[in-house]
Amino acid sequence: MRRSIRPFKRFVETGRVVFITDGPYKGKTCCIVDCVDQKSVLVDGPETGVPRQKLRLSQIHLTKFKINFPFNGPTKLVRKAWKKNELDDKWSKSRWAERFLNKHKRAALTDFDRFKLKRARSIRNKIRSEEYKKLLKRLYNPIRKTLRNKRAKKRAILKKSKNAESGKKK
Amino acid sequence: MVEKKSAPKEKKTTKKIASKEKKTEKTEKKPTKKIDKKIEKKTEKKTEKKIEKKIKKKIEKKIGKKVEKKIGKKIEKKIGKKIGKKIVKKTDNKVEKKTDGLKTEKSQKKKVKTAVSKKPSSLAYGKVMFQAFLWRGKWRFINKAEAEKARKKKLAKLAKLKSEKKEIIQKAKKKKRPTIVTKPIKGEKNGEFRKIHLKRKNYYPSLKRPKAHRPRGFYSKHKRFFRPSLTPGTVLILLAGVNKGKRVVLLKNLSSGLLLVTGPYLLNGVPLRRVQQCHVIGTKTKLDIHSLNLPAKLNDQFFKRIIEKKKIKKGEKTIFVPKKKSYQPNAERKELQKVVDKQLLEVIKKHPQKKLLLAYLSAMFGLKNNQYPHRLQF
Repeated sequence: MRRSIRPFKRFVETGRVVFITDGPYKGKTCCIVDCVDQKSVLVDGPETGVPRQKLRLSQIHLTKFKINFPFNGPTKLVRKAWKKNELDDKWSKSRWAERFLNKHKRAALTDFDRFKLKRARSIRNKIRSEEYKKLLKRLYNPIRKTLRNKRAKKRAILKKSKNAESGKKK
Repeated sequence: MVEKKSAPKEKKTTKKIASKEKKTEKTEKKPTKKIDKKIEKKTEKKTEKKIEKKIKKKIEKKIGKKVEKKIGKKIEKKIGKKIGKKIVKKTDNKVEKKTDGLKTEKSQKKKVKTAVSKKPSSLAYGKVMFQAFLWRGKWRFINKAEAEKARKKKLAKLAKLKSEKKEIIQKAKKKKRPTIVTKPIKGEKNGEFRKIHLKRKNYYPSLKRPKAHRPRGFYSKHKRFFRPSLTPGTVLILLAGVNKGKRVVLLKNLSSGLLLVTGPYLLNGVPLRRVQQCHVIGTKTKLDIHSLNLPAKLNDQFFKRIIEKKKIKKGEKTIFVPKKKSYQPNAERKELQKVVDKQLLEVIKKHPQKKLLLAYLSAMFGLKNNQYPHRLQF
């Protein structure tokens, strides 16, 4: 039964990196140190500015990252493990962090910015759609198809004649 | 007149009766010179004639002397008036005193004087003793002397009442209740008596007194407050009116609490107009408007609506409903619009993102799916 597929990949466990969605430290990452009970965990984020504290699981989303340090380890060890794994870098490069940032950027846009974005998008979309149309034309233009067929026929005839000539020589 | 009717009855009466009748007439407040004349004619006797002649001579002498002294017709008239007045007054007084027969004779002598002196008829008649006035379509007369008497009586009554009132008030003042009363209290260890305030005190330490309201004057002179985002030069989004959804430039915060705004007209068709600040969203995009030289004419008075009252002439009335005239800006507004637009466009052209700004101001505002104005930033 070794090959059995694990249904869950992320667990509430020591060293699991976590994204805080609620409370005063909303939008920051940290990692679980210990489980307090079924609903809450002890959390520590020395590198991200989250002090060691108890958080409810409903305030937390589990990420794919995990670091290794002994169960119930002090802040010193947590920091060491965080740095060793370069988690700041890893997190900022993740798609999750990117989307999170973009959401905030979009919310902070002023009316004029929104107008500019709209314009930029429309210009981009125009270029893109023209390009797309060109590709479509190349593939499905009936005239081109016939031309291509004609050329192919010509080539085939030439080939035949060549073959015939070579055969005669032989 | 009533007096005329009463005259024929008196034809065959004696002196005394005549005098009595005169009394009654006078009590009726209608003494006239005409009546006097008639009565005199009726009661002609030798003795009276003699007296008449004497009095005539005397009066003629008097008047003649005076006329000689003060020459002129006007003066003569004046004198006549004065004499007439005096005579009438004297006669009245005597009658009121209910004089005897002898006295009436004296009074008659004086009445005779009036007849003999041939003064203008309007002199003693009514002018002195009576006041005529129109009331409910009829001419009424008041005897001045009688009226004054009545008035004096009234005044006396009022004075009496006043004095009575004063007395009552003074009595009430004397009986002022004491503010604090000491009352005995039963039971042991209760201090035997207690002081009780009968009146509410003016001050209690825990009492909160309502503050007096600050007088603010007329509405037109109230202080106006504008949202901090609404400073001159900001781009606004209009939310109401004909131009709703359009983006405009705020030029000035007017003293009436309204915002002076323009499209500019060349870009989006919004003319110079005033807008309520509640019908507007202020954005964060701001133009540097300091170089703009706004004409001083652009104030609240300039934008006040002019309502022309039409006077329909009688001949011009038609059955058809007249066509409503649509609003058209006058030449002055058009000119000012041009002046302001020119300057504003120059300001916009100096902006680093000039092309985008021009497009932005000429474009309409709108919400897309999943865009909520309370979550957006402007």
